[in-house]
Formats: sequence, structure tokens, C-alpha cells
Amino acid sequence: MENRIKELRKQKNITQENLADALSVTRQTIISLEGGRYNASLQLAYKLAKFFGVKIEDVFIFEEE
Amino acid sequence: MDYNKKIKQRIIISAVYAILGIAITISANIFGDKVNGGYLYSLGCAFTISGAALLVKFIRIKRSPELMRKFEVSARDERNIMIADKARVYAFGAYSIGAATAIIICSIFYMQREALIVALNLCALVLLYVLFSIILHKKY
Repeated sequence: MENRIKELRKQKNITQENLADALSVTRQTIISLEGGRYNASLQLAYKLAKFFGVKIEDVFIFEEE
Repeated sequence: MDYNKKIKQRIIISAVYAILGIAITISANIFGDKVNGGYLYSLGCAFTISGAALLVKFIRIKRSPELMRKFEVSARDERNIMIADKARVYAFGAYSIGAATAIIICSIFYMQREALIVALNLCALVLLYVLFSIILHKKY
């Protein structure tokens, strides 16, 4: 699943480390999420959307298989 | 989950490992002639070294608030949990294939006793898998 985490993070002008600290995850998780190698759980997706102040569908781009 | 409590538990477990390792090493030195002393000695050394290393690591984490925070984040991180789960699944698969290969090789070379031990081990593993699958299916 594609996402706009990197784009939203850059808009907010914060580092991966800051985002990781805010979400209580490791920086490696943020790197994997941004690289599209790992899909966030529902809980983390909510946390991300809440952090950026947008809806989940604005962070994650759902693609039908 | 209280991670302070978790660290304390890990310190106790590491200490038990190290003490057990020392006890096994001493036993290997005393009873080495009667039992397979070499294996026992290696096992004792492995327990002592790994237990002591873990003990130092967890004591360091407990003393430093920054390391404690990192430990907590790392332990809760969902990607780390997923990786650990996947690693266990791969290990289970690799072990099963390895054990099955060992059974075949042992059978070819008429090592019936060894083949039986590995086969029983594999059966126990599969039975445990089925048992935990049933329990988890009921739980979720």
C-alpha cells in the first residue's frame, strides 16, 4: 500500500526521528513505512493520521488487488 | 505493560542463567569422567557467558532512563514484533526441513537411534504447533 507519510512529514518540517518519537516507534519503522516496505497496523495508521491532522485515507492510498 | 517490572524480571532470569551456567560448569569439572563432560562443560560456559552478558545489558538499561525509553519503544514497536514473529515462523520451517532431511540421512546410513530421536523431536514440535493453533483459534 502506498502512503504519503514522507510528503506529510516534509510539509510539517520534522525529521524521521521526531516522527518516530511522537508515535513511540523506532526510526527504522518510519523508514520502512516511507519506503513502502512495511504496512502500518490500524492503530499506527490512526496515530499517523491524528499526528498529521488528516484522515487515514489522506495518508494511505488504498489499491484494490 | 510495566517495562520497569519487565526489566527486573529479565535481570533475574539472566542472573539465574549465569548461576545455572556456573553450576553446570562446576558439575562438568567434578563429574566429567562419569558423564559426557565435554558437552556439559560447553553448555555450562555458553549459559554463563550469555547469562552474564544479558545481565550487564539489562542492568545498564535499568540504570539509564534514555536506554530504558529506547528499550520500551523497541519492545512495543509493531515492526519489531512482526519481524520477531516472522523470524520464528521461518525458523520453524527451516528446522522442520532440516530435521526431516536428518531423518532421511540417518535412515539411509542405518542410524536408527538418531533417526528416532530427531523424528520424536519433530513430532513434538508439530504437536505443539497444532495445540497452540487450537488454543489461539479459540482465543481470537
